[in-house]
Amino acid sequence: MTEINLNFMHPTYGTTFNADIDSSFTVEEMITNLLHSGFLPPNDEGYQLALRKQIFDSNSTFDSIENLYDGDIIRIVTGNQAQDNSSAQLVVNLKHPTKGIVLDLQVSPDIIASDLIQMVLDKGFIQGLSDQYTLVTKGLNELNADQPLSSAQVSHQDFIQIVQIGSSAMPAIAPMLYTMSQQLEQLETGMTKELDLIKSNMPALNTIPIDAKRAINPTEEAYQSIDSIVGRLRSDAKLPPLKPIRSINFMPFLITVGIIALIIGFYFFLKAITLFY
Amino acid sequence: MTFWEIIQHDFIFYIINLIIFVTVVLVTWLFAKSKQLETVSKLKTQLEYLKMQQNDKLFDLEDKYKKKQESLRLILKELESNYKTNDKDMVEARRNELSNVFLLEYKDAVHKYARLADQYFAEYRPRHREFVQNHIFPFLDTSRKILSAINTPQIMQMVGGQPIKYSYQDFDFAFDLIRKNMFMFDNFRADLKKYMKALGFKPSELDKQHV
Repeated sequence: MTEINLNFMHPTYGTTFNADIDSSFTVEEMITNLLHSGFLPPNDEGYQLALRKQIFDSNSTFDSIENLYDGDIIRIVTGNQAQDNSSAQLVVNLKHPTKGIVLDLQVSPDIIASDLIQMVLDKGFIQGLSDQYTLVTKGLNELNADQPLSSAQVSHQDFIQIVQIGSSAMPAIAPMLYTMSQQLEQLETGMTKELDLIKSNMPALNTIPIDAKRAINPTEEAYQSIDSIVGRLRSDAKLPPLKPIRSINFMPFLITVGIIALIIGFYFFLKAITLFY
Repeated sequence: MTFWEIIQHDFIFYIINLIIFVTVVLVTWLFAKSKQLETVSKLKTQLEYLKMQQNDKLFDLEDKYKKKQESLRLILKELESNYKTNDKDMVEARRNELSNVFLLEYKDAVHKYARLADQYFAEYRPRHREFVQNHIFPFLDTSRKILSAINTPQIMQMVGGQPIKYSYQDFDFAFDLIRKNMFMFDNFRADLKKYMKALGFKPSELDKQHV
């Protein structure tokens, strides 16, 4: 049993459903599975599967379909669309005006721009009215509302930008990329220059950095102590300055006197003893 | 057989028993001593660690109270410059600010520092006395200067206020620390009395019970 990974695109919303399916499944079985899973709503006209221009036969199996590879997007078309698409020859990729999503549609090359916009509106890919939008093809060519695609030389798998009228048209990608890369280069050069400047201004590694909290910030004013400020206030009030409180410590004096007294006493004691003897 | 004959007969038995007894006692004593030394060294290490922590706290509190002293000096400077420009409102504001900062911040910071230092130096009397000489007396000196500046007659006349007085409780921690280090024939007692007079207290208040 071989498996193949395929994406199934919703006929109305363009959303995809990814599944690994058994390649022995028939197209009809797959459609039934998609209906049962709730991905597709019931439809009286039924559904068919299509890949690019080819619409698959309901009874054919996936392994019998040619040029079917892993990751291919299978469009689910209703019965009506299958009939319409049978004569269509062109697949165009329509880009959303604001979001980066693409809707690919199989259309007739003679379809006019306004009809194509209406078709996209019907599918719910964009919101609003058809006269609010215009189509811009490659080379920034804007299509008139009644201009067919074939007149703008739109070919198979071409990208068409849906532009909201009033907003600026999207420039071509290649010049945009070029300007972006130039801007990046300029940014890089600027950043490198700034880094070099910063490095050149930084102090050498062997020097001790200054500690901003402890650095002395000399001012023009001399330091004034509490003593001097209070002294000035008192002199303005014609009061005498506060005298320092410093008492005399008598202890050293008393110890000295005591020692001298002891020495003198001892001297007289010795003299008295010698007198007796 | 007499007693000594019995001893002589079993002499070796008694000797061996004595040796065993002495050995057991010695081993037990050595074991206990080693355990004791181990516990003592652990306690010493813990004490050293606690001392180091307290030391750091002490330095931190000293820095804090010195910062408060510096802020007092700056406010006093502002007071003087406002007084010279005769700005009555600013002089009144600065006077109140000075008094508040002194009482609520500076005095509190010194109190915390003194409290920790009292515990830290409790076992080292000379260092305790040195602390009182180097920090408590200067604190009382700063206090009397601030009080003198706040209650300068010209300033009081300008703002139309009453003299600011502090209570004994604001300074009792300082007085108690000084009293702890007083000796006979010491200058501490005389200095304490002079500072008390300068701050508006009577020396007899020292002996009263203050709650």
